[in-house]
Amino acid sequence: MKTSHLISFVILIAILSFYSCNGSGKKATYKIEKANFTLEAPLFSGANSTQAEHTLDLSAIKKELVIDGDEVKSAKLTKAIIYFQDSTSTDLANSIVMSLAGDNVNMAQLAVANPLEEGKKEVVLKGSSEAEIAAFFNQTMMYIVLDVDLKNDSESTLILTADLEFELEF
Amino acid sequence: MLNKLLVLFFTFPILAIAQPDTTANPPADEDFSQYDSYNFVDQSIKKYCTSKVFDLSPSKLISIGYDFQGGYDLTTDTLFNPIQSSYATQNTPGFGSIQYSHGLRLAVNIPVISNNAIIVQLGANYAEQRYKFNQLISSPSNDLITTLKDNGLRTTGLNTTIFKPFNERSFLLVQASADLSGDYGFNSINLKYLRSSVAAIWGQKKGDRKMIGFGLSRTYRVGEMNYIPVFLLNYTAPNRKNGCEILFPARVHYRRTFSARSLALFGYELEGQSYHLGSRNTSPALQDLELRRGELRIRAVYERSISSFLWLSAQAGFRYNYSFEADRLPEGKEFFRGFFGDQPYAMQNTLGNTFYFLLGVNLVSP
Amino acid sequence: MKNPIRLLILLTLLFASNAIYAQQADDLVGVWEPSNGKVRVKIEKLGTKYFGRIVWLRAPIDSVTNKPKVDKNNPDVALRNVPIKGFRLLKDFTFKSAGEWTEGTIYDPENGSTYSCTIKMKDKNTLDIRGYIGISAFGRTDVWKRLEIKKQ
Repeated sequence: MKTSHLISFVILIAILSFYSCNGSGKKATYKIEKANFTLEAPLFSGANSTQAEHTLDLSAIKKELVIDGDEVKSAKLTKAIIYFQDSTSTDLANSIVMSLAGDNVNMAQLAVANPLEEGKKEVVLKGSSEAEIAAFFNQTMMYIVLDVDLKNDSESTLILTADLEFELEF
Repeated sequence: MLNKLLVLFFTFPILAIAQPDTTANPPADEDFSQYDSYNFVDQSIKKYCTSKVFDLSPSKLISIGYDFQGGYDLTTDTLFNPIQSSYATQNTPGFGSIQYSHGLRLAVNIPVISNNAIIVQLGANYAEQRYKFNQLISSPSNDLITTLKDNGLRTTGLNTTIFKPFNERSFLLVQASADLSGDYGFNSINLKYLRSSVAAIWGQKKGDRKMIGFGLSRTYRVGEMNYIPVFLLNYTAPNRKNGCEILFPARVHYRRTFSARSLALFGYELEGQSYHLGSRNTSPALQDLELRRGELRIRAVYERSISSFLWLSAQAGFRYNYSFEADRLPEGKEFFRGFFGDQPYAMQNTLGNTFYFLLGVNLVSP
Repeated sequence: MKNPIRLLILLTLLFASNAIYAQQADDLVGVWEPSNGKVRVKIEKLGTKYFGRIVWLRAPIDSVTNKPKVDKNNPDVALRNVPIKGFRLLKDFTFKSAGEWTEGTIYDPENGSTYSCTIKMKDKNTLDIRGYIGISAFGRTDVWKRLEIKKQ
């Protein structure tokens, strides 16, 4: 009886160890460059939303790390820069908030810049270190959503691009 | 072939609807100033005030706590033995030195109905007070001391709170509870000794930061049953840092808000019950005896969120004895003495004052 | 199914119910006001889910800072500068059945808490929005009313 208890205990510890150590712990940087956002004119002052659809492809990363079957265990935004295109600048907006959304994942607010430094072509967003976003990287597609709080009404379409970097852990 | 075409034609919309609408982009061309001029579609809307003011300390859905009181002395009166119509020899005035008293506190409050028009909350609570005596200095067989030492005191109760707003300003708040308090064990419960308390307050909500009310209560907060007027004031200053939470005379607190997830309260609370004795200690001297325990807790309370809706509550302060007398209630029948009645007590005891702390973990309400 | 007419009728019914289903799901879309009257929330569809943004505030300026209100109680310090106007209060609701949207969350900027939430449509202009913790019993229902443009 005691032996069977001991065996059960060892098996339990083994299972717990397996689950607690599950995942390779390998890290990689995932970059999204020049994601395009268009806010079509006419625009009104206040929070205007725009989104870019992004198809995820982690195959190159997984191949490099030799972790074919692993899922992303944690993900963190490490860089988020928004660029105002054409002749536009930060003068147009009070703030920018970035979120991620997906069909099978709950939306997560990710970064903010408020207020914006005037007269600039680019904005560095302050990213959350607590947002749970790993699940987005185990999907095939996600939406990057920007809420741009415009200062005034405008008759011109506003185009923004974004460069993003995420640190992924498998 | 026709069938196949029909199937294809009619199932197409199903497939189309099931697909994620990846092109859906919220319209950017949205005039935000338009929302100023929006009106209710249904004009017959009745609006009600809410039960809270800004930054009010969170109400507790589930709470688990531990109460500890430091050392103090208990001097007991002579206990009359009603069976032998004499003062039993072992029940001469006694003196007990209590090293500490402590106990568990549990409470659950479930909002069974909670909407704009009414909130009905049902709750259950349990509190115990266990006494750890030092070596007794005199009269070691005093029955009151014996039952406190052996059995302690406990309260098990059910309660309800109803908040009924009538419009955007007026509301009625009713709190009622039925408590079983005594030195009983869980196999010696006697519902005959159930004690009920009730309070009704009519109030006014004056904006998001102030609510005020007046009412009447039947309470055991000072040990014995009493009818007292009550005054409610929940207030938060415009700076959202300071405020008060007052349900006078039961509790009065100044509130300091540090953030949405941490606050401190400074003030006092009256706490008490009428405990039926003799449930487990069947000494004739304890028969029909009700211990009227009432105490004033002058305290500082710190509450903070430790994880989402889980809050830690730590309070410490001075426990001042208001009443530790006892009344003889034949068959548990209650009477009203009030502040001015001259009915004599069956026992007049003296309890020393001491420091105390209460630590708790609470699941708080939205 | 040898009779094509019978199949036609059956599929017509299926199609009709399908269209009604989609319409019922989108009944949630619109501008709504919670019982406290402090904000107006526009519910819209993003992908397959429904989200609600604050589009109007009765008091848009923070009385302490004298600036537009921000999400100062967010437990995530990095996001405390997010403006309240435009904030997504309701997130990730999916249509469950006629008049019911579930699996969403509601955020309370007053205390920075996110609650599980279900929405029930009592009639086309009234929503019961129930925020709760863990199980539905630990919650509170608020009644939201539909708004539309109607100049006074």
